[in-house]
Amino acid sequence: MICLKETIPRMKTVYIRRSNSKKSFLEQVRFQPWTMKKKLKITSTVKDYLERYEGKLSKRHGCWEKFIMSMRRFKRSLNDFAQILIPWEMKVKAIESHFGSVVSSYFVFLRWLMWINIWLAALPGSVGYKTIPDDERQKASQLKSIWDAEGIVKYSPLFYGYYGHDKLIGNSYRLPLAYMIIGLAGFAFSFIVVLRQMAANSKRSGLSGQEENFTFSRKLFSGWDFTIGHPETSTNKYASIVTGFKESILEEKQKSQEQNKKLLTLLRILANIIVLMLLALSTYIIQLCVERSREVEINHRRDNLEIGFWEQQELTVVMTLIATLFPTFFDIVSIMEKYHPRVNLRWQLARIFGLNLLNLYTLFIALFWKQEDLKRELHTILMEKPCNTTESSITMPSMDHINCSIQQETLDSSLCWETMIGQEVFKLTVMDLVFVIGTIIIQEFLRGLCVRYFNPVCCWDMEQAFPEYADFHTAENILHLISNQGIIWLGTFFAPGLPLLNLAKLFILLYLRSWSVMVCNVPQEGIFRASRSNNFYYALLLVMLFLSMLPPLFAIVAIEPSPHCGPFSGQKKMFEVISNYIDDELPSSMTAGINYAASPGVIIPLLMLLGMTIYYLVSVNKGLKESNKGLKKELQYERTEGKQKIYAMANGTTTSYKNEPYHIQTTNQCLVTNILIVKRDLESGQSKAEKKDTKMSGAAYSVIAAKRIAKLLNANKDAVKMKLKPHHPSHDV
Amino acid sequence: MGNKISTFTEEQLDAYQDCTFFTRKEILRIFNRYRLLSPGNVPVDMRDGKTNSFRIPLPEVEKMTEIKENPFKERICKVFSEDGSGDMSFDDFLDMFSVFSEAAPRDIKTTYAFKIYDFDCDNYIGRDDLERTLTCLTKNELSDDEKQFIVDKVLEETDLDDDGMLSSYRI
Repeated sequence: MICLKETIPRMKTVYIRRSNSKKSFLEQVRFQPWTMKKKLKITSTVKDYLERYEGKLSKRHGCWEKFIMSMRRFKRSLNDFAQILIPWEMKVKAIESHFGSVVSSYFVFLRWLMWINIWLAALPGSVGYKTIPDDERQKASQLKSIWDAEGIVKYSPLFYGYYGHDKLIGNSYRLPLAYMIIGLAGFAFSFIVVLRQMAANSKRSGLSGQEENFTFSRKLFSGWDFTIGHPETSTNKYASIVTGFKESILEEKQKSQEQNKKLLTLLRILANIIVLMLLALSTYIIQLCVERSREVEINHRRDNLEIGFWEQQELTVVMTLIATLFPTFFDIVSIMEKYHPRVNLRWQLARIFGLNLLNLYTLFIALFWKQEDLKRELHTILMEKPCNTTESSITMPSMDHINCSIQQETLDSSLCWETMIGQEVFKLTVMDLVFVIGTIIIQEFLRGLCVRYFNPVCCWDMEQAFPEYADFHTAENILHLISNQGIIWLGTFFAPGLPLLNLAKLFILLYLRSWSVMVCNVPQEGIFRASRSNNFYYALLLVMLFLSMLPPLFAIVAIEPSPHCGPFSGQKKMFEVISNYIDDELPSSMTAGINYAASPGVIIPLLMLLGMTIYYLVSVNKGLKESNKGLKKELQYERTEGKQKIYAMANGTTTSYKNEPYHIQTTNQCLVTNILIVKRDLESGQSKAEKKDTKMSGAAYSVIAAKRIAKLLNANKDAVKMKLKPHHPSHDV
Repeated sequence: MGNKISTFTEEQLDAYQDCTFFTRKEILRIFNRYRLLSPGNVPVDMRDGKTNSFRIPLPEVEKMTEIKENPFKERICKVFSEDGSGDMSFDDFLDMFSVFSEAAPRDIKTTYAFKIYDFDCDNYIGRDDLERTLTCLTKNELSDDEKQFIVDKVLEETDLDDDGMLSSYRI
C-alpha cells in the first residue's frame, strides 16, 4: 500500500516532466534542418504522446492543458492578423524582389519614419483660440497665401501663433505649460524610439566584428543577394561580384608592394579643399539670401510695398537648389580622389550630411538675426505711436482708440518670430517636396521615356552610353529622408502641425518613389551596401536629432518670446512657464526641494556622476571587447594547434608506455581510450553537438573536448605522482 | 474557408505551422504558388499524406520567379528535395520557403547554405566545391588563375586544420 501511494505521484511527476520536455521539443522542431517528412512525423508522434498521457493526469491538469492549447491557438491567429496589419508590406517585398534588399531598405526606413511622425503629429492635441485679423482675412484664402503659409494657414493650429496665452482654459487646462511639455516630449519620444531601434538592430546583427578578416570567404559565401528576382538586377549583381573579386585580388596583390602615393595624397587634399570651399560657398549664399530678404522686408514695411512672389520664395528655392545640386559637385570632385567605391560612398555621405547640417544651422542663425530685427522694429513702432487713450485729442477719442487696436492686431499678426520660423520651415518642406517630384519626373521619368522611345532612332546606344536609365541612389535618398526629418524636428516646436505635413509628404514620397523605382529606374550597377549594419543610418538620424534639437532648446532658454502672440507672450523666457508653474501651484516645501535640486550644488555633482558612469561604462566596454578578442584567439588556437596536438597525442600514445609499471600502463591506456573517444567526438563534433544542445556550435564543442582532455591529462599526472591504484575510467568526466 | 477545408485538414495546417515559420494564411499562399508552378497538374486535395505523392520536376521549379535568377537554383532545389533529385513535393517546397523566410534564424540558414555550397554532398566543402561555387557566382568570367587565387585565399582564411577543405561548423 505504502509503495503504491508513493509511486502514483512519482509517476505523475514523471509524466508531467516528460510531457513538458516534449512540449519544449515541439517548439524546437521548426529550427531543425530536417526534411519536412521527418519533422511532420516527429510532430505527430510527440502530439500523440501528449494526447495519450495527458489524459492520465488529473482532470484539472487536462483542462489547464486545453486552456493553454487554445491560448496558443489564439495567439497564433493574433499573429496571423498582425502580419496583415503591416502596411505596404507587399509593396516593399515586390521592390525587394526586383532590386534586392539594398533598395528596399530605403522603403523600410521610410515606413519607419512615417510611424514616428504619426506619433509626433498625434502629440499636440491642444486647444487654443485666436481670430484672424480683418484686413488679412480678405486675402487669406487665396491660393498664393496658402502656398506661402500665410493667411488661413498662418492662423491654423499648424503654427505657434495660433495658440493663445491664457494661463488657464476651462478649469484646469494650462495651455502654455501643455505646449511646452508636448514640445519637449516630442524630442524625448524621438530619442527613445531611435535608440530602441538601434538597440534592436545591434542585437539582431550580433557579433559581426570580424569582417576585415574574411574578405574572400565573405564575398564567396554571402556575395549573392538571395532576394533578387529580376534579370537586369541579377546581371548587374554578377558584374558587381566579378569586379568585386577582381578589386580584392588587386588589393591583395598591392598590399605587398607599396607604391608612390604622393600624387594621390595631393589630389585628395585638393579635393577636400574644394569641398570645404563649396561648403563655405553654400553658407555664404544662404547668408546672403537671408540678408536680402531682410532688407526687402524692412523696405516693404517702411513703404508699404507688396513683396513679389520671387522675393518671398528666394530663400527656400536657393536652399533646395543647393541641396539638390551640390551633391553632384561632390560626386565630380570625388572622381579625382580615386577611393575604393565603398570608401568613396562614405565620404560622399559624410559630405552631404555636413552640407545639410550646415545649411540648417545657417538658416537658423540667419532667422535668429531676422528675429532680432523684428523685435527692434516692434520697439520703434511702440515708441512712435504710444497707445494711450487718455493723452489723445479730446475731439476724436473713439477714432484713436480704433487705430490703436488695429495697430495692436497687426502687431500680433506680423511680428511673431516663432511663427515666422515655422513658416520658413514649412515652406522649405513643401519646396523640397516639389523639387523631389520635379527631379523624379524630369530626371527619371522623362529620361526613361526618352531613352526607351528614341533609342531605336538614335545613332548610339542610349541605354548603355548617354543618358541611360536613372539609378536608384539608396544611400543619398536615405540621407535625404534623414535631413528632411531633421528639418521637421527643428521646426516642430514652432509649428506643431509640421509632422502632419511631413506625414503627407512621406506618404506622397512613398508612393512616388515606389512607382518611379519600378517604372523608370534600373538597379544600381555597383550594388554594395552603404554600411554593413543598418545601424549606420540610425546613428546618422540620432546625430541629426540631437543637432536639430539644439536650436529650439536655445530658443526656449535664451530668446525672449514675441510679446504679442503665442502661448508664451508676456514671459521673459519661454521656460519660465515651467518655473512659474512650480512657484505658483506646488506647495512651498516642494518648491524649496525643487529649487535645491536645480541649484549648482546638485547639478554639478550630478554631472560629475554622469561623467564617471560614462567613463566606467566605456572602460567596461573596452574590457569586454578585449576579453572577446582573447576568446576569439583562444578559439582559433583550440581549433588549429590545440587540435593538432590532440591528434598527435592520440596517434603517438598508443605505441609508447609499453614498458611502464602495470598501474601506470593501465592509466595510460585509459587515457588513450579516452582521448580516442574524444577524438571520435571531435570528428563527429557537429552531430553530437546538435544532439546535446541545439544552440551549442561545433566550435564550442571542440573547445570543450579539448578542455576535457586537459583535465584527463592532469588527472593522469596526479595519479602517476601519487602512485595510486589505477582507477576505472568513467566516460563522463 | 472552403478552399482551406478542401485542400488541407485542420491538423495538417496545425502541423505545418509547428514545423515552419509561417502563418496559416502564408502556408495557403505558398500552396497557391506551388500550384501555379505547374498549372493544372497539382492535385487540389492534399489530405491524408497526399502531399508527397505529387512532385513537380526540377526544370519547372527552376522557372519560379523567386529563384530563376539565382546562380545556385539547381543546388537549392536538390538540397531541399527529399531524394536529392531536385523534384519537389509540396512538403519540400514549403520547407524551402520556411528556411528562406525572414523569420528563420541564422543557424538553420547557415546549415542549409553549407549544404548548398557542398556540391558533392560529402559534408565537406573542398577545393572542387569552392571552385564550382565561384563559377556559379561569377558566370565563369574569371580566369583560372584568378579562381585559384580566390580559392587559395578562402581556404587560407577559413580552413584552420590545413586539410584543404571546410567542415560544416567553420562557416
